[in-house]
Amino acid sequence: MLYEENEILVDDLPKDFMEVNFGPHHPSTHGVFRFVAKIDGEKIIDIEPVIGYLHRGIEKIAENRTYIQFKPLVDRLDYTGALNNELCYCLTIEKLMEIEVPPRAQAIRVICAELNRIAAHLIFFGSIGLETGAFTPLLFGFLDRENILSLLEMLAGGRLTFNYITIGGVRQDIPAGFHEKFEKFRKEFPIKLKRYADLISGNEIFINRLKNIGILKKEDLFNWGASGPTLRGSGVKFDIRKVEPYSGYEKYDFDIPVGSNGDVYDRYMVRMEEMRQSLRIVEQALDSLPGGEFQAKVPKIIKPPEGELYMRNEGTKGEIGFYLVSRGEKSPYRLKIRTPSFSHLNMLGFALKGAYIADAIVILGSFDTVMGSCDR
Amino acid sequence: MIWWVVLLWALLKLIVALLFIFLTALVLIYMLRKVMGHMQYRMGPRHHGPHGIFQTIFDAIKLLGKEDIVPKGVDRWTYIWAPIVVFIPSLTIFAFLPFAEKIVATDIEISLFFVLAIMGFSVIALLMAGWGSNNKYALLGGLRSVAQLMSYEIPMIIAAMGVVLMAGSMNLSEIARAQSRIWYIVPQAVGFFIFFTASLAEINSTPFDIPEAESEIVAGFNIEYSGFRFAAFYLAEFVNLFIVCALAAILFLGGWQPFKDPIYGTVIFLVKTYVLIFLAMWIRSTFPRFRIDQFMDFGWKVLLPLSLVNLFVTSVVVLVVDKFKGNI
Amino acid sequence: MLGLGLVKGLKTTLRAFFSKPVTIIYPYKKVKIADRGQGLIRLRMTQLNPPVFKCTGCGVCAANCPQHCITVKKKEDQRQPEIYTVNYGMCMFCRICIDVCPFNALEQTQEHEFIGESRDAFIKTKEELMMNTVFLEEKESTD
Repeated sequence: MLYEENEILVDDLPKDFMEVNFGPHHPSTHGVFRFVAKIDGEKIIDIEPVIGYLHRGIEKIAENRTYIQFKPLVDRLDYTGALNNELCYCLTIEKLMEIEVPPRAQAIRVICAELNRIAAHLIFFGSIGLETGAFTPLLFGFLDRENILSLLEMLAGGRLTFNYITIGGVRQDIPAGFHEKFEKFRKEFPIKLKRYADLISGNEIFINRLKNIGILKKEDLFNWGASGPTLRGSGVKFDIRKVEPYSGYEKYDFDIPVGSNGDVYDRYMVRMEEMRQSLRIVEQALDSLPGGEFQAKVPKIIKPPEGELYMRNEGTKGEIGFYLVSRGEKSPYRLKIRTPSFSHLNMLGFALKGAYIADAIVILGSFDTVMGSCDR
Repeated sequence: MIWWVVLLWALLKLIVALLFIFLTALVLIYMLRKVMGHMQYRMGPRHHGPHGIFQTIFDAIKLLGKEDIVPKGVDRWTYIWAPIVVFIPSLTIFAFLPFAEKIVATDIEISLFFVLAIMGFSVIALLMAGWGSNNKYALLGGLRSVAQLMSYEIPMIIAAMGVVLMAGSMNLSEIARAQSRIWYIVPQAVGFFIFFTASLAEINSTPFDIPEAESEIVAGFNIEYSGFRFAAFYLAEFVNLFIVCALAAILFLGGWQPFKDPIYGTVIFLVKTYVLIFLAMWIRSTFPRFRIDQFMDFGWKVLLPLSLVNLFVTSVVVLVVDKFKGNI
Repeated sequence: MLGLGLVKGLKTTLRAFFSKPVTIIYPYKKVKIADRGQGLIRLRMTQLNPPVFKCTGCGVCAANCPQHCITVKKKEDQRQPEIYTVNYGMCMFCRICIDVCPFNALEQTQEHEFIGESRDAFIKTKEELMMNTVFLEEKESTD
């Protein structure tokens, strides 16, 4: 006999895949997000995401606050691009109460929303650099974001949470000095974008890290309810600003960048190009600003008539939707918030199958989720 | 009676050498923070001392004062000895570097060979840290580091062989002396590129810092180390950076040429080393890191054939030139 | 060419290395906050002699505050608040109180740096919230 009777062969040993926990404290999971991955060497076999670390019960709080009292809390959903959330909330209530917003207020709302979109995409630019290992894009992105935030502070009064867009218009008019400050920003920003292209977009190491990973097909994206740049990176030309224009977007001339392959590099390029288009929209809006009032006449206590309504708009990361059920009282009966980050995180299970660990972090970054929006 | 004088003299030289090494590591940490800061439109440290030059000392004091935590379930022997073993190759190699014409601690016939052989030891320390930490992230980091260091040693050694062929000797001082007419970076540009890239991979510096990739596996093999054990790893990384750039300066930039004076020679040698260190820090601020399989592709499919071609061409040219000179 | 992207990246960082840093060294130099920036609210005073609060203690601001941080109490026959406190530990600077006040009695300032050693230090009473200067004329309703 070549071996003893009670020896154990290697094939008989119990085997299992290694379970690694990418915990809530992690430098690259975009907030407090946790996923437990089963890995085989360096490839991921299966993951199980765990969310809810930032759950604050916003939808329940809405049932105990009046409409005006609830409005500052909507900022805190997607805190990188807060004015888009407020815009959606106010649009829902205005549509239910049939309030007509004056054109000057609509133009100012467009300016705020697009400036906030540029700021949010700059955070994406910084964080995707950090996830691939380059430290510099983070600081370049935040340097330019500082310029935008000081513009928004001059206009809206805040840097991260604003409470500026009110039901029926905006809170205050454009101050003196805003046009000059914006001129300075408008001249510098395309140069900065070119600098980012030199630093990162043309870099061979970076392109090799981002190409051909995390490919998402159209059928999957439709099935899981994706929207925003995640959807447009795969070749679907769908933007709510063009399909159901709100707040005067039909007057402005802008393109929608669309990717072709559906990999991480396409989603990155879509967001870079969107920044340029947003700047174009803001320039057109400021140049053609109509006169008039900035706030419609609304009653002091807001009581929408009975009914229910779903209104959506194009947030920085995708489609934000508010479903409002009102029974004619001061507080909503039920307010459901549909956020893009929650739907995108559901796609993580099949997007990460078979990917390397290093790629998994980059793919998660390319979905551009923010946990305040996912957990509410 | 003479033996204890010899021992005391050796001990004194050892202490001076150790002080120089740690001072270099502190200066390099400060230089990295300042250089990286200015490349990102910000200043680095500026609070302690003029322009923040005492910052690293205060950081070291802070790290010394932290609680010494040994997690439960670690493999005690490997966990405790890993930060000490990581210093062994770095400190040993210092003995062979020639700072000026006659200033070298140990001068043996095959010092380059010995240096390159000892550099392979750094794998053991990372593997000990990765295995002994009882943590899956550390294990991943340790395994990645083994793959990385093994595969990038070969192109580095073969690129150094080109220089040996041109100089005709493996002694580091001889190689530096043989560059009196022309520095070897000019005929061996490809060799310099290969040597510098492979040595950046040896010391785990971006774009090759996969074992301690911060964004994925959260500090890799040194995730369970804190306090002075972590400081040991950190200092060793910068000492390695200095050694590798000093080696590249000797092999390709002429070492202490053109000054034969001890003081001027040391100064010019340090200037050349610091230029290469600046280049390494510049690369660290700019590039993202490779993925592990792209990185192995780069090492085995690009650098290795290139270094072999370099060796072949160098040997042919040296043979032809020798025959030419021999005939005349 | 193969390495051109890498070289361009290096050029960008080198240009940044030789530029002036943009850091503002915070405690020694401060950034000026715009006029509409969020900060403490203050109670305006009228131009009577002696000056009194414009606030009449109606309590609309307390009813509309999302965080319930304003406490207002007044006696039956007076037109001044007896107790008016704002808890800045809970305030989120949303400025709803300024918007809904029917007497325009609150004013927004840009003071945002305050520290305290206990939670009670953040509850500011009406004496601490008085405007420092007497209001000489009505401002435009830009606040």
